[in-house]
Amino acid sequence: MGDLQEIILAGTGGQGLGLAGELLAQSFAEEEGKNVIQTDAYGISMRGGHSRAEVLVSSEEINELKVTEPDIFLAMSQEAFDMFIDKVEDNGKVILDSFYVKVLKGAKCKVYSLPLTEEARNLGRENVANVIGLGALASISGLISGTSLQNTLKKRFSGAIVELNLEAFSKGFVMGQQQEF
Amino acid sequence: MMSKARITLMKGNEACAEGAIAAGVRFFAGYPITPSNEIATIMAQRLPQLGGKFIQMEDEIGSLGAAIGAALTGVKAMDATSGPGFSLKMENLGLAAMVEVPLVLINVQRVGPSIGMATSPAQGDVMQARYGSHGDYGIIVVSPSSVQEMFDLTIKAVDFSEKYRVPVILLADQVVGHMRERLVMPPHEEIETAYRTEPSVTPDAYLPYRGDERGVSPMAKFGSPYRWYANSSSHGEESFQATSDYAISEKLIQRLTNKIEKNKKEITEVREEFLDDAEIVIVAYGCTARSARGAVLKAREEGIKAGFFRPIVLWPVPNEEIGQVADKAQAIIVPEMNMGQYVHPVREAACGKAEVVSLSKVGGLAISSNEILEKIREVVKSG
Repeated sequence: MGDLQEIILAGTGGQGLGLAGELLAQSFAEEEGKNVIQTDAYGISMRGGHSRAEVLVSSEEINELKVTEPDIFLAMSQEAFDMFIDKVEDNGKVILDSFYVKVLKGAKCKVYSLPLTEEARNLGRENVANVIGLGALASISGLISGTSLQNTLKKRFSGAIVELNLEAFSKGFVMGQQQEF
Repeated sequence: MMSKARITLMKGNEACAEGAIAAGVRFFAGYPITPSNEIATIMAQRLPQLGGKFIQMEDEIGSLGAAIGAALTGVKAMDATSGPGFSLKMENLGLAAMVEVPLVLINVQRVGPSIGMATSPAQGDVMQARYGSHGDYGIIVVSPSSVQEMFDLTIKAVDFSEKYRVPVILLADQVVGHMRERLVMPPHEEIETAYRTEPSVTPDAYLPYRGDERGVSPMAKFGSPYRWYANSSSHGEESFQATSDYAISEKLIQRLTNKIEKNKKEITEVREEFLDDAEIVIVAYGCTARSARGAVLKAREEGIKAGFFRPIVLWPVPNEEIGQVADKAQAIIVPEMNMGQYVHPVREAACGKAEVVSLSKVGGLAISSNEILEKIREVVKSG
């Protein structure tokens, strides 16, 4: 329907994918004036277990509640990859964390395998892998400008944390730009 | 300087709390329950900053009791709950209806019965919202479909409650309560909200239960020179007990019900789209209305003449408007996340003029546009 884009960010509880979904939705809504619906799904545990965020974005009224056929899929665990890979649109794009996703069975669309967790470790904080993923998602999908996401990061964080997140974001953004389309 | 609207990404429950504050709600009593908790959390933070009061009571019954007490003193009061908490509210909801206390009760519906599934959505409390407390009374139930409406309709619910001296239920669901969307919040000074009519006669001449031409009585604040009794027993216009006078009881029950039914024209709100040539019309509310509209658009792409009708105010039922839909359409489909509840008043309003089909889904998953589209195709085929 219209220009609706369906995005899914999925992995393991504790990787910050709920937050990543919120940052992405906030950027679309507050920085780019788009309509969004963002929902979370997670188990009852704080760490571990499947966790995901869904974002629907459109310049028109949104008439769906959940993602059914993702256009963009950020996969940060093998379980998450296996769960959604066959639902991704043929012309969709999958960005995966090569540290966790090793078996690429079932992909019929373009797949970008990126060392998100390794790069986060290089920055000294494994838990910014989600924001590196967002950077790569922005440049690979072209759905949202880097500036919008950077503005949201500045709104949400301060001090050393915002610096770390901005660095993580630009690392991912550049990583995405270096991919072949 | 003109203040500007604020645009933020927000959860439905957060928007509901913001709407309540914008509407002038300054008292919140509650008891924690998922998936309504964000509302209480925000009210607990914000109300003290605004000179209001937040109280967490010992249980759901006590919290609605506290809201009733606060409302009687002249403050706009609210309570929020979910699942089994809503069942516990029913006793005091009847009290609020009987003594005609304006207040808003939020129910973020989850899967039942009983404890059910605390984190999954349902629309199983539609009948309970209207008929849950014993005896006959009138009530208003509004049904938000988006985060923006969690804000706008909370304001509207407060308005209705004050205008008609009646408890109003905002019947949300876990999907709308927990999803995040873009919310446009106008500056508070631009939001006009109703406040109950206070008596203009001398305290001696005040009749707290004598309805005006709309059936609504002026309401004096407790603690003011106007003395009256919030009497849960059958009572006359002056508020004294009248438990063996059948004529007084009859008049009271009729007025409590009719003050909503007779003012239906002002209360009713519906959204209608693609109805002019529609052969099959989807009647949907709450989160399901979102995917229902998607299904109608998809059906239109396939050349099926589908229409969309959404009661924004669920109760009182917009019978006239549904009747007009039934005059033109061949079939009406009512998708809902229950075993078939609102389909009944819709069928009654359609009065046999169009076939009314239920699309029921239970268990905690929202209904997708494709599921509704599939039902539309099926109805077309059975023609």
